[in-house]
Amino acid sequence: MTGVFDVVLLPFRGFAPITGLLAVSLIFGVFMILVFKYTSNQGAIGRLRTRMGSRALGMLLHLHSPAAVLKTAAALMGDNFVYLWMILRPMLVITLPFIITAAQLDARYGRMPIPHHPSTTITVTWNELPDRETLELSAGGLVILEPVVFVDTLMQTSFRVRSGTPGGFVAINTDTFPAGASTPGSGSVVYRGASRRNLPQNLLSPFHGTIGGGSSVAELEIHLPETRFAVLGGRWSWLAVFLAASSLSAIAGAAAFRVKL
Amino acid sequence: MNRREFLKTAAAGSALLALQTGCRGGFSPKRKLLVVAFDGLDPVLVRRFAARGLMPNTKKLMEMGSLRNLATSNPPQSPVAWSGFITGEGPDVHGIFDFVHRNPDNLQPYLSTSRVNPPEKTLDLGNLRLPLAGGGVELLRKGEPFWRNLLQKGIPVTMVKLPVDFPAPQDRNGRFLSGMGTPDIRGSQGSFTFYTDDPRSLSDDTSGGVVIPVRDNGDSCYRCRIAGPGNSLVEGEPVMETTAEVWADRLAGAVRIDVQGNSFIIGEKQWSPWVRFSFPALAGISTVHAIGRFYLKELSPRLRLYLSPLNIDPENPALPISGPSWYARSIAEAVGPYYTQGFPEDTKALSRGVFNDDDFHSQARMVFDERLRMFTHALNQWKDGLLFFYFSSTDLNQHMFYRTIDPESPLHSSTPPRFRTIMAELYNKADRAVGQAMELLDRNTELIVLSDHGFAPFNRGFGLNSWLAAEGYSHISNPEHRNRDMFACLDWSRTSAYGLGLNSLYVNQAGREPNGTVAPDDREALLQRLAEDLERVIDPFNGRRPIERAYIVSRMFPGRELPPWAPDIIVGYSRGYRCSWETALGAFPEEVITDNTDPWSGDHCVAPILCPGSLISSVPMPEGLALQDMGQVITNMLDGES
Repeated sequence: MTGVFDVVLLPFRGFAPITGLLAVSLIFGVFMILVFKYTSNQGAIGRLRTRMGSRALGMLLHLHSPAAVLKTAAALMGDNFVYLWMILRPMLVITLPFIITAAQLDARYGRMPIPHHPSTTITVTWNELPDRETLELSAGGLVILEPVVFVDTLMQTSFRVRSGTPGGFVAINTDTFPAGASTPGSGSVVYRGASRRNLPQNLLSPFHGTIGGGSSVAELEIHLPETRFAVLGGRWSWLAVFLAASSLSAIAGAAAFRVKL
Repeated sequence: MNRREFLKTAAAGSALLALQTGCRGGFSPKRKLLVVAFDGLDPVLVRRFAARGLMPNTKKLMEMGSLRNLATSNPPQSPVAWSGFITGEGPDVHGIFDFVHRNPDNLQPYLSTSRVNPPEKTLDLGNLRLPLAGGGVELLRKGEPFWRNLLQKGIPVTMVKLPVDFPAPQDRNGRFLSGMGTPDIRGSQGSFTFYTDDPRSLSDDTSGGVVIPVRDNGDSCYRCRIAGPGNSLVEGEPVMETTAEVWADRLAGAVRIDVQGNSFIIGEKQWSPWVRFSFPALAGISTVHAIGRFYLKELSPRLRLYLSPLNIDPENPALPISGPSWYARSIAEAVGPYYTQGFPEDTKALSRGVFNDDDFHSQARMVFDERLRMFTHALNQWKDGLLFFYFSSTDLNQHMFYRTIDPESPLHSSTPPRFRTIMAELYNKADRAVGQAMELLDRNTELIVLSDHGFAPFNRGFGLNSWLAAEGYSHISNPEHRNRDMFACLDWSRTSAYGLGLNSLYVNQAGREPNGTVAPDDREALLQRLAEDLERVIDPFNGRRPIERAYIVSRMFPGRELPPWAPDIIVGYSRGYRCSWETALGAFPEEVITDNTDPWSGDHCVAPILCPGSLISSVPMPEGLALQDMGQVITNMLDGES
């Protein structure tokens, strides 16, 4: 899946990260609407919508009769349940692509690389706690700040790192496909940690590092700052941008492909 | 023409005249005016430090224009003074007479500048109370702000950290960030939390913050409960809470704090970065956001961990701290999170002994540096019109460190000598900000540096309530309750006057107070006698008069109907004196005049003539201006038609 997203994002590599995010969102919106079209009973939905419209009109015409209004409202509510049942199948079909897409976007656009300020905390969970006196830490491009905190009861060591250059950022990434430069909000893939992994975990957090069975490290957690995108005067998470853009795209797609929603 | 109208006219005319004869050619309407406000910047100290070469930029500005004493308000308290600056009026119009007012119906004190009103209508669903109408935060300052006139004429206005301005105005084309008076997330003026496993640090005193006992259950983890705001959507407004896990590594001298998915490390004597807290009021619908900073004062042998008052998160403000609402967020995006509470320097932590001088100094320096970053940002953003920028650090640092330059202070000799230069450093830092502002001066840009009042030593506390009792103006029926707040020891039926707040004295008037004894017809005679008696008091310790002058308020504003919360006498203390800490909240200790042994060693609640503010400007200003006149002067400088 990572390869598919790499290809989709390739044309946007040189642009601001939000362009790639918007592109994926727009494509996903159209994809959703096409899935909806071909997995739902469009004829039945059309008839149901017509019926619901006529019931709403009937309510307006019989406002003088509470009994008629209540009866029509109950029927309308029943129609709503029928509608929910009709869209269940497309929703189930969309669920898996949505989860995979969200995981990819979260990995690419969810977190910033490690900045110079403030520092970033890294926590290592060990299989066997190393000796305090002999532990040596190093990371290319990063400055490791004293002190190193040992939490014996959790078998953990925590320390702070920062980019070695004021104003600069360091991304711990896969080197496979950065979707932009290593700047805040760039969308470059940054590792948030590493652990022993299984297939579902790899699907849900695709750029999480994998630790081999023989390692003395059980888990690595990097507390990276969240990325925010400046849109329409606000600062939005990737998820908010994705939901808004894909919804707009789906509505436009419904009109273009004559899909009955 | 009354005195005030005369002053205003004279000030405006004089300012215009001065501008016309300014050193850089004839008068023309100035399109850009920068007003830098340093709370409490004292003209005597400015002259002293400038003469010593510690304020070179200010000295240069004085030579370009002038340095004048700026008459302050009566009483010279910041909320009163800045309200006068904003409205150009006195307390009779803007309604702010003291930091604290009292409700005459029940004598309960309340903050004079703003209040939170509960919703008028709610939809109750179980224990949920969903607001439907009314409610919100109300600014209690009355009167018309001077900037409204500028905005109406299309002159842009930006006011950053303006005091007595919460909730922030929402005037079109203006940008406002609230300053003094802005509460923390719990609605107080700043309430710290101090976690410790040292039983000696525990106390019942809750002024300024709470001390919470914590313990290590053998896993090196202290679980620290963090109290957020009350949940107004739930019946009874239960306090919303979260927990921080503090993992201690005593060998490394540091802790790791895990809270709400964040994790950070701080060593002893270190501050954490700003930490974000979320308190869900209604799951998925309403969340209150706050920010705070931890300070690890000590880890071994005992944990002493300080958490700052939880500030309103400027990126997700729960209350209207800026106008327009996005303005607070835009500043945070540029300079990072910042203190939004009105009193950022934690003076209470120092007074309570939670901080020592070094701890307070490190926090105060952090606040000043943060404000300087905001100042730089504001200067960079400023394009046109009026920019007003306010610094609180000069005031709160002088309150706490005045003892370092005053040999008569009871704490002078016990203060470490390394702090002796701290006041000079403070003024020097303010001078650097002045230098930064002066870089913007050009043909169309002028600069005014001003303060709301000066400063005076506070070495002896005058127990106004104790004096009233000793002189027979009030009667103590429960002597064992003398030290309790809110008049717990008083027999109201035999009391004719009482003190509450920093300068306020009230008559126990029949028909106004709930147990009033003084008939309205006897009031004036009583006030006259009280004022004379107060001005005759002598401090037996040194033979000085603690009270310079007692001002009868009805005579300060003749012909005006004053609001029911107005005091009857404003007590103007002499330099070196102020009301005692106990008097401010209605206690009656045995001794009337005592040494002030609180680090809060400088003050300005004296007679206004004893602590004028400073007025330094790039154009010469006339003598005799008052802070209350400056709104008109600013308007004149920006708008030639006025």
